[in-house]
Amino acid sequence: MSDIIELHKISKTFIERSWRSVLFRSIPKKTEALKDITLTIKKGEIFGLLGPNGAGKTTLIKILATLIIPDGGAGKIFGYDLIRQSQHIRRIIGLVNMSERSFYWRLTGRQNLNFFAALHNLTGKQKEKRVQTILELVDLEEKAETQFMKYSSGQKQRLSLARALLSNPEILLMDEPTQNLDPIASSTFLKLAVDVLKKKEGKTILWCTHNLREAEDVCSRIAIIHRGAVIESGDLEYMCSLINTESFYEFTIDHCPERTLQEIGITPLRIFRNNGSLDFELQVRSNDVPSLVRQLVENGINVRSCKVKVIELDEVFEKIINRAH
Amino acid sequence: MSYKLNFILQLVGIFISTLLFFFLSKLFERGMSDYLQPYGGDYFAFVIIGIAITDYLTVSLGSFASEIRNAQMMGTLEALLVTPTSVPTILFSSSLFSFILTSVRIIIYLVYGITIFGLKLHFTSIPLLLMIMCLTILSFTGIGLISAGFIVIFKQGSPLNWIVNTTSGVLGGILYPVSVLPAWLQPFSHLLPITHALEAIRQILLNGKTFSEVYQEVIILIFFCITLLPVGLIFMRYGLSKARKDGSLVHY
Repeated sequence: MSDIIELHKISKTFIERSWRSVLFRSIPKKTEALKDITLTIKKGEIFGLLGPNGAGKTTLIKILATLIIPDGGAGKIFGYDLIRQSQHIRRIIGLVNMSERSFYWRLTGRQNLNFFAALHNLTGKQKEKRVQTILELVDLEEKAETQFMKYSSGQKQRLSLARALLSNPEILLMDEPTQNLDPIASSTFLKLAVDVLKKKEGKTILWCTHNLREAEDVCSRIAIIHRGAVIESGDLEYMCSLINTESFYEFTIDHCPERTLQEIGITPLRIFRNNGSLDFELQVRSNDVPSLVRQLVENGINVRSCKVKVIELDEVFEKIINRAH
Repeated sequence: MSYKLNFILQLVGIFISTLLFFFLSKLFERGMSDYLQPYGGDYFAFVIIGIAITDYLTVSLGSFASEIRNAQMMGTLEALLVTPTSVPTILFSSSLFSFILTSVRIIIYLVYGITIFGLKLHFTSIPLLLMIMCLTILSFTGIGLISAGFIVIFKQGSPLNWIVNTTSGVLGGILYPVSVLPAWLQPFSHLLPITHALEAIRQILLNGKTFSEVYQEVIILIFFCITLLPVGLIFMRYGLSKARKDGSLVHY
């Protein structure tokens, strides 16, 4: 798969100038929102941008949507330069954000879509057809003639997605798309993203979220952003392998004295005694597991099972963030 | 219902202000002012044109800035800017209705004046009149775009609107001829597009003058157009670019 979004050392610092700082020439407040962000996103993938609130996810999305100009670095979307060819980029991207204020509340869903479709240079029958197709795609055709103000949060978010899809863009930029949704609406939205947008429509999606479960469900690759910098990126397997080097393993062996384990150099984190067996947890490098099992066997200890304790993405996230501090 | 009521109230409002100026004009009827001689001597005709054209000034100055401000406040600005349509196109399209409404208001002013208050106007040079109206609107639009750019950057009411509105009101010859002003102040009035727009329109409508008699005003209005319009567009683009750099598009 070819890279569709390429970012190289993108940086952004916001400078807050007040009248006071101008008059008294005091140093204005600076916030370094992004630091040398380098990323590539492949065609047809859902790429997760994970990070806590204030990490810089929205700033990055806005840079990609040409709403913010970066201070440094270079970026290309579909070969178009992020700064010099912003007009071209706007034709191939769709932005789904969490702001429900970005719609006209007294207009119906269809009227809102008609308005934005006109701004995407769709006219006449072509516009009507596209709006209808999109309404069906996001399952809002029954609510099409209802005023936006009467929509539920889930419907508002689906209309936001519909708006982003009006120009049939190659790339969707989703900024916390499920933030205001209840679990059912959220799950429907995720299903729509994966089954329809990714699998059926082949869209490339940049999915910003701080919800790790969500990222696990929809993303094939992930970048973790913290304090404006990408601190890790890769596929889910790789992200988990980052802490697999120090992973937890659960061993079940035939009963033996704890002293025996110590004698052969095993210091369990926790030990549970069961009838005839001994369970213990061990933090060990994955490469060392086979020799450890061999050692136990050679010392006459029957190893009933050895399982990797399932690592949740939360743990990876927490660990990587803590490591970054 | 609220739209219909609003329209009826506007009709009543226009009638009342026309009535007001009609009675005011009675003050000058017996002792005709020398200042009004170049305009046919009728104060009512003079002032009603001034008031009507000022509507265009108000709309041109305010509508672009208020469209931007509304979009900032409502939160729709980013959604508009992420589309491939250019900002000036969005602003012109969204302000079009205000311009149409203003044109209707001006026609109503004139219809009231002619039918109810006996206003006498010359409609011999309609194409020339329309051309001057277009030049007037485009000149005002340039200032309106500068004002909108100001709003994008500073998020507050533009002082430019206040300055242009006030100076136009005092120096532009809306309620009284420019010749009333002290000699030292009169040159300043020529720096305002409304002075030339009103002079040309009044000469055509009140004295039936033709292009050859108002061409100087037309040239000056063309000059205002070709300077103010590009300056307005450049300033608007600068404002947006600055807001994109500052990340302040959605601040309000």
